[in-house]
This record gives sequence, C-alpha cells and structure tokens, in this order.
Amino acid sequence: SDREDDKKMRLANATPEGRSLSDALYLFGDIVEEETDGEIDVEVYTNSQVGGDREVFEGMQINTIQGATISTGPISQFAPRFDVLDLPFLFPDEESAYEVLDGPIGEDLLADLPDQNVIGLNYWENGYRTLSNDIREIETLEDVQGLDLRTLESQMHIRLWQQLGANPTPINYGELYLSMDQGTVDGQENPVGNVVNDNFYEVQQYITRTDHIYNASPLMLSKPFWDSLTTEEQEIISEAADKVRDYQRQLNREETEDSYQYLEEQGMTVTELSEEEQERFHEAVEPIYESYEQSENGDLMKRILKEVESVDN
Amino acid sequence: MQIIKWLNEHIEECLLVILTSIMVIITALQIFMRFVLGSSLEWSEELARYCFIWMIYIGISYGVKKQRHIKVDVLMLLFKDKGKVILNMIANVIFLAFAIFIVIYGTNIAVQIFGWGQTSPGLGLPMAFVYFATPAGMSLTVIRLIQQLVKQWKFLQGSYVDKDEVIEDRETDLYGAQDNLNDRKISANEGGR
Amino acid sequence: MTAGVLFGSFGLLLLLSVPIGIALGVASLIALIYSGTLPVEFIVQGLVTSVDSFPIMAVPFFILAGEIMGKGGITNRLFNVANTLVGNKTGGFAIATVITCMFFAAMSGSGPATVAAIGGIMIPAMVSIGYDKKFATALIAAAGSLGVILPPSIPLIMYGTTGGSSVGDLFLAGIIPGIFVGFGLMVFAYFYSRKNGYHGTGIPFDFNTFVRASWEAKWALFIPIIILGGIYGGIFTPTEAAAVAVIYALITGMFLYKEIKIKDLPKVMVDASLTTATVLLIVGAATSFGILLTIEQIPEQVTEAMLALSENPIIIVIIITLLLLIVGTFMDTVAAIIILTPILLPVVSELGFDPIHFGILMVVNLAIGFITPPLGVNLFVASGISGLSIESLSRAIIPFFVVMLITLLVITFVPQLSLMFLE
Ligand code: NA
Ligand code: NA
Repeated sequence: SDREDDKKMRLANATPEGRSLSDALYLFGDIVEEETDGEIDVEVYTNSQVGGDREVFEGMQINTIQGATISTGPISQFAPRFDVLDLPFLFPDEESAYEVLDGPIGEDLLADLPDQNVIGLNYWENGYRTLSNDIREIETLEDVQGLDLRTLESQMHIRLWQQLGANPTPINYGELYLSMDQGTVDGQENPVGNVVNDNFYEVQQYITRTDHIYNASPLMLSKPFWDSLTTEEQEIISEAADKVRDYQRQLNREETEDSYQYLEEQGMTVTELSEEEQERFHEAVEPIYESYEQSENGDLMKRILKEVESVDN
Repeated sequence: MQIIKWLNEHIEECLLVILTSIMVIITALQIFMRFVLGSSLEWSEELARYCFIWMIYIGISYGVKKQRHIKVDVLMLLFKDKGKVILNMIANVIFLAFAIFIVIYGTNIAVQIFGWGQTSPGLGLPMAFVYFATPAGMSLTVIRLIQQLVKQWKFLQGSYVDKDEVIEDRETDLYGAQDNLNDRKISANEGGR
Repeated sequence: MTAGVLFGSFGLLLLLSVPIGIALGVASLIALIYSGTLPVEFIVQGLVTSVDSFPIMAVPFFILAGEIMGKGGITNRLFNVANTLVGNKTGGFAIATVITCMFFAAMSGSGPATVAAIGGIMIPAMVSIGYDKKFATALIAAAGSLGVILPPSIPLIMYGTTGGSSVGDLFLAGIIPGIFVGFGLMVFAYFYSRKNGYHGTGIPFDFNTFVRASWEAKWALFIPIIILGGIYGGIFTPTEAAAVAVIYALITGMFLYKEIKIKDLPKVMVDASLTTATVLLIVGAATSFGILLTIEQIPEQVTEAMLALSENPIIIVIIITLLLLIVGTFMDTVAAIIILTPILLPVVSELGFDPIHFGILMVVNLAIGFITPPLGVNLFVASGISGLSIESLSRAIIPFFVVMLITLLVITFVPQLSLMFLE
C-alpha cells in the first residue's frame, strides 16, 4: 500500500535470518499491517542490514528506525539499570526470568526507556549464553582455570570470567572466528545460536551448557513514532507484541535444543554441568553479587532475587 | 593573529599526529597486556577506535587542504587550465553543500545523543564525543573548501595564484610518493657513493 | 526507479570529478529524498558507525608501517639479498627488482607505496647498468601491484570487512597468487632481457655473500615473519599485527638502521592519516549507499540479470572480469571493492564461487587497474619517479599488462592456487 498518509514502521534487528527473533519480527510486522488494515506500513530489516545493536537503538532515538529487538546488554549503554539483568546465574530457568520480566520489575525497567526517546513493550529472548572452547571439556570449575576467553567489553562480563578463573579478553566480534582458529583466544561465550550461525563449531571442539547469563531481548519502539499513533493503533501493537512474545519464546527454546543437536552432529562435544558443579559456579561469582549490592542498583537486584526465589518455591 | 595563522597552517597536522600516536600506542599496549601480562584492558580497543574516527574526519579536512581526495578525473583531461578550475569549483561547491548538510544534521544528532547520555561500554565515555567527530571535522572541511573556492575564484579573475594550488594535480602526488621520492633520491645517491 | 536515481546521480557526480566518497554520500542523499525509504539522518549516523570498526583500523596501521619502512632504509638491504641470488643471470637485475618488490609487498599493504619505496632506488640503478628506462619503470609499476596481492593487503582488508570474509583467510589465499604473478613478471623480464642483451653481473653466486646479505637485511626480513607468523601463530589479530608492524618498523628504522629520526615521524604520521582518511571517507559514505542497494534489492536484480545472460559460470566470470578491468581502469581500487563487493558477491556465490577465491580475483583484477591509464596509480607514481611521461609509459606497460592478464586467467580458473592453504 502506498497511500500518502500511511505510517511507515521500519523494524530492525542484528539477528540472522531464520533465527526465532527474526521470524518473530516478521510475524509481528504482518499482524500489525493486517490489523491496522495497512494504515501502518511495515518493513523488516534483519541481520544488521541497517546496522548493529547500537546503531539500531540510536536509530529509534532519532526515529530513522521505528522498532527493534535488542539484547539487554547493549541497552544498558543507554539505560544503565538494564545492567542488572547481566548478573551471572541470575535466572535459574526461563520460567523465573519470564516471571520477573513480565511482572512489575520488568515493567519498572522498561519505564527507563522513554527518557531515551524509546518505548519498551515487552521482553522477547535471545536465550542463555553458553561457553565454548577448543582446549578441553569443561565439566568442573577447575576446567575453566586459565582459559583465554573472548568476552564483551563490559565490566560485568569481565568480572564474571575472572571470578571463574578464566582470562577474559575483549576481542572484536569480527575478528573472533580467526582468533579462535589461530588460538589467539581459546574460546568464547554467546547464545548457542551464534556458534551455529557464525560457524564457530568449525574451530571449537567443546561446548558446555553453562547458561551463565539469560539474554532477554526487549521489543522497543521509537517514542516519536509511538506518540504519532492513535490509541487504537497503540492497542493493536501492544496486543500483537504480547502474542508474538509467547510464540517467540517457545520457538527460541526449540531452536536452542535444535542448535545443540546440530552442534553434536557437527562433532562438537556438548556437556551439561552436574548440579554440584552448577552450585560451585554460583558460589564462585558470589563476590560479584556482594559488590553489586553496594551499587545504585543493589535494591533492584535484591527485589529480583526475592522474586526468583518465590518462583522457585 | 599569529595564533590564527599557525592554526590555519597546522591544526589538522597537529591533531592527526596526536590521534595516530594514541592509536598505535594503545593497540600495542593491548597486545602487551594480553600476551605478556596475561590480563586485558577492557577500554583499549574502544579508545583506539574512537581516536581513529576522529582521525578520519580531521584527515578529510586535511585532504581538502592538500587536495588529495580520491576522484575519477576523466572529464578533467578534456579541459585546459581555466576549464579545469571551473569544473573543480563545481565539484567543490557540491562537496561544500554536502559538508554543510553533515555539519547541521551531525551536530543535531550529537547534541541529542549527548542529551540522552549514552555512554561507551569500556570507557564509560559519553558517545556524543564520538558523534561530534563528524560535524567537527566537516566544519574544518567547510573552512578549507571556502578557502579553496576563494583561491580558485581569484585565479579566474586573473589575479596571480599558483596554478598548482587551484588545480588538483593529485596524480603525481598520490600517497605522498613525491615526498618519498625526494627523500629517496638523496639516500640513493648516498648509497652510490 | 530509486536505483536509477541513485546510480544516475552517482555517475554524474563522478563525471564532475566530485570526490568518490562525497559522490556516494550525495547520491544516497538524493535517492533517500526521492524515495523516502529512510530518513536522511541515516547517512549522518552511517558516517560514524561504519568506520567504528576495529578490523578496518588495520588500514591506517599498514599504511603507516609502509611509510616508515619506505623511509627506514630497508630497500637497499632487501635488494642486496635478491641480487646475490639472481644478479649473475641474464636479466638478473630485473628479476632481482621483482623479488625485492615481492619482499616489500609482503610488508606493505599498498601498491603505490611499494612502487614509491622500490622505484626510487631501482630505476636509477637499472638504468645505470644499461637497462632501458621505459622498461625499468614499467617493470616497477607492474611489480608494485604485488603490494596488494601478497599479504598484508589493504584492498583485501576492505573486501573482508565489506563482504564478511575472514581477513586472515584472505591473506593466506593471496600468497600463492601473489608469488605466481611475480613469477610471471620475472619470466617476462628474463625473455625481454635475453632479447635485448641485458646480461648479469657476471659475479658467480656465492653462498657466503648471500648469507651475509641476508644477515644484513635480517631486521627487514623479519617483518613478514612477524606479521604473518603473529597472526597464524595465534599471538595477535590482523589489526594488532598491523600495529606491531608499525612499532617494529619504527624500532628497525630508528635504532637498528638509524635512517629515520624522531623529527621525521610527524610528517610520516600525517601522510599516513591523510591517505587513510581519503580512503575511509569512501567507506563511511558507502554504508548508506550499500544499505540503499540492499533495500532496493539491487544485488538480487544484478544476479538475476547476469544469470539471465548465461547459465555458464565461465562466461559470467569473464563478464565480471571485463567489468572489473574497466572499473579498475577508471576507479580507485578500494572504492571499487567497497562499491562492487555487495553487488557481485551474490552473483558469484550463486555460481558456487568461494568468496575467498573471488576476493583474490577481485584484487588481482583491480591490481591490473593500477597500471592501466587513465587512472593507474602505479603509473603515476612511477612516472613521477622516473620523469617519463604517462604516454610513453603507457606504451611500455602493454606487455606487462598482457602478462598480468594471463596470470589473472590462471588464477581465475585454478581456484586451488588461492585456496590451497585453507581447508
Ligand atoms: Na602486501
Ligand atoms: Na587504472
């Protein structure tokens, strides 16, 4: 539809085609277009076509892009409180993450976004981050000792791996494959989908389901765009967002299992941590929680932990 | 006046030397820290990258001053001096318009980003500093382009201006080859003695 | 239609001799205003985000390292090694010149830098022992293009970052094709010298002299070992390797050979950042141009149009080769790579070409463009050094052009040359 007064809604992400976050974004666009009778004209640009996470967020701020899903890590560059979600082993399982993020705490965090000229609708997911390396099978905490590990340039991530005994090294993602191939670093940690999509399995032998950080991926819209919509249109969009969120999470969890299976077929050794070892990993990062408690975000952290505990019981 | 004259001559050179030095030192330090000390800096790559961005946009201005931007000059070959200058002026006016566009929109975006307070992940530096590289460099570029156009206008009016200063004769000087050459001829002669 | 506006205004601006980067930016701006696909702020944002890239930082480092090495007095020493090896043979001096270019190419990422560094010494030297000046100059111009085929290579870095291929793999893939092109030039130089009676020094090969010359040149010969050894030995990334090359070249030039002084450094840095900035303006502006191409689905259309021409991969590759040769005649190598990679890579991928192999093809193709008038950067530099006119040089370069074309065809149809070191 090419009507003059159509509202154009460009949706973007940095996720490859075929991953659940991309499929869901298309679906969301289709629903919005259909329900608004084409009043809102949606275009979807996946796979960093119009930029990576930071560019896309900035794009929403200046309203060149109207909507996107971005992991909470990069969002904390804009809205620092999102940093709390990158605390290691914060959510023991997806259910507790959903409980917290879909409840008042999640809402509270999203309320930081309008100051950034962005509206947060709800939380989709990129899934748990997981550890791969080419040196040895990681079954115990001791196995992590001395691994040269590529991490994000983030205090929290670097501290996490220091606590676990690895040597964290920020290396540019674009140079990561070669760096692992040549042994500049021994391993990396990302959601398992990256290991599949970026062929890391060609240069990595072992993957351990550490599930150390749960990456939520909020669906956000440009605030100027949101404000230009009618109440009715806003309602349509919010409803579509919730419907697609549930579908996306389901799809992503299936995709995660498929990914591990694929990696096994490709010859990687996939390892699960025993419950005792999981416990030891959690204990090892305890100092991070202790110092985080002193930070401005300490109360928020305690609220989340309390909520998680109540879910578990 | 002295200061302005000195700045006019050397501002880009000065900034380029500082920025390049930081880039080299920081990147070398990053390897040293990882390889020799076994512990990494979380801010090194970021700082090097941001210096790099500033270097590019200051360098673009310097490229105008030195007339060294990369272009296709097929049409140039068809004209004599005056025609070349006129063609060059047209190109410079288009460049100028684009540079002004970047200054206006670039400032606007940088100011907004400054207001929203986005910080860089490693250094915690306001990202607006990075975004100011484009409007800052392009502002310098605007000045250089206007200086160039004034010279070219004077040349057309018949006042004496060195021809090399108004016609881009990039071909023999690309990649600083001419300078390299002068240095090298001397050393070649020395070698022959 | 948007595509028409985009390419039409881009072509017109190029004709008006607007700098390529600015032409890309203005054309994107016009197309955005025309189509309304994306707001114009997009271009401004792209100018920052597209150069906010660590892999691309290898470009200024390799340029800087090349400048320092050129001034640091390593050329003489490299030539002495080559000359003790082959100097006594027919055409020995010419062959030694090509080998020196290959050594230097293995340190420098740029073609013109190689010409400038080697030509200043070798052209007078060759002429002084009786070689035809035109032949000597053309030889250097051609051999200088090895600078971008042998790793490290700035165009290969650009291809890797534009097309999403591993720069390290591209570097590995460039080794054999680079040696092969160099070998082709040496074979031609030999036959030419035999015909024209250019005999060697007459000094028989002496192993001790060779070892002594190599020892003299040891600090220089270490550079490629450090760059490639460092990358493939897992010590540093290609970008870090480039920074190491800078530091190493500085130490060698300043303290070991003592031919470059601290007071020379600011000028070297300014020159290197100037070259970098003029190249990266194109990168910055090409991002929005590239995104517009993607949104308008130009790569898909080009792929379809090409495949409609013929189903035969050989014919399509020949068409692409001709296109690249023509573009290389008029356009700067890096600009051509940044603009054409997103358009051509989908076509050749469809034909089952390996992207690494195609990167080498593209670079060899465009390296030939270094020596073809009207825009042949190596020709300009060589002409500046020798004082020969572009016209007479253009005639002298023809046999070298033919030799390089033949080697290009071999590299095109024998992918193993490029891919043998990759699994
Ligand atoms: Na090279
Ligand atoms: Na050419």
